[in-house]
Amino acid sequence: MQKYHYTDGSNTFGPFSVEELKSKGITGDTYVWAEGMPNWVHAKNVPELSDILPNDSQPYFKESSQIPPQFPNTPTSSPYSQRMEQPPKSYLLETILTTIFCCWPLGIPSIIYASRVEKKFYAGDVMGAELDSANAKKWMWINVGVCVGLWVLYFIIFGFAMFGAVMSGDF
Amino acid sequence: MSERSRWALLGASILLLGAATYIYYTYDPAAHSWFPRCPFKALTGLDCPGCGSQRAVHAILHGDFREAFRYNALLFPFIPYLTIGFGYRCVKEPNQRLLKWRRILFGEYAIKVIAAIIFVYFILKNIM
Repeated sequence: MQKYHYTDGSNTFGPFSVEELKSKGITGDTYVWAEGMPNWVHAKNVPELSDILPNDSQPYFKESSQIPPQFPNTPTSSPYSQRMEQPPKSYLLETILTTIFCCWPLGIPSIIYASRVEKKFYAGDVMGAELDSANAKKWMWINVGVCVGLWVLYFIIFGFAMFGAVMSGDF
Repeated sequence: MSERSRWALLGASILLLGAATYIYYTYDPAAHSWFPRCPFKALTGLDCPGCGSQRAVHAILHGDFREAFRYNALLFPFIPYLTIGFGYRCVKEPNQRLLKWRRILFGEYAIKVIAAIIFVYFILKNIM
């Protein structure tokens, strides 16, 4: 059984089974999406959902209920397809740089968040993906900050040691 | 970001890169003590995955790739990889083929493979 996500235009909900979707009050014009679909489509264009939609919104299936309907091509200009194509930034490249050149233990959370961004995105959880993207960014900056801090600390200590050595050498 | 600040950023990056190239070419990080040290190594005594990269850059700039590989082997796969990655970022409207490749090369599984490579390298570097 496919699990569906639906959206009200700004938020996405799901995944729900067809049974669960019945109680959500979606109409034929609600955009839905399930794993494996290239784009968001109107619920009225998904044959599996025809049973749970209010009758007046599905003329498409009344006429051709004998023939399995063709999968429709949604216009690529729809805002949902735009959002579907480009996942949020995973900060993968920055994460590699900070993991190698800064404190690598602090790179671990960055890597975990970065890997979850696309995983969630392609599972339809756009909100979750954006949240993980923000977290990946946050850990990148924590790593950079800690590293610069440690460097400064190191130079202060090192500087004092050098100063001490020079002083004692002079005397 | 506006067109103007984008150019300013690009100029600053090139300038910085040029300065860094000059410094790493002229001075050997192994011989001078004022190069930044790895805080992880200073604290734990262990080599981190990035340790040796300054010496490796110095060796690369002098054409000594064998020496560079010995100092830090991670630079060799990651310099081209990161260059391609930042190149992909610059493409404003990618087509489907580009998106497919981007997803393969820089997607969820790529991140896990890279994490594994970095940590395996970290372990190998410290036991060998």
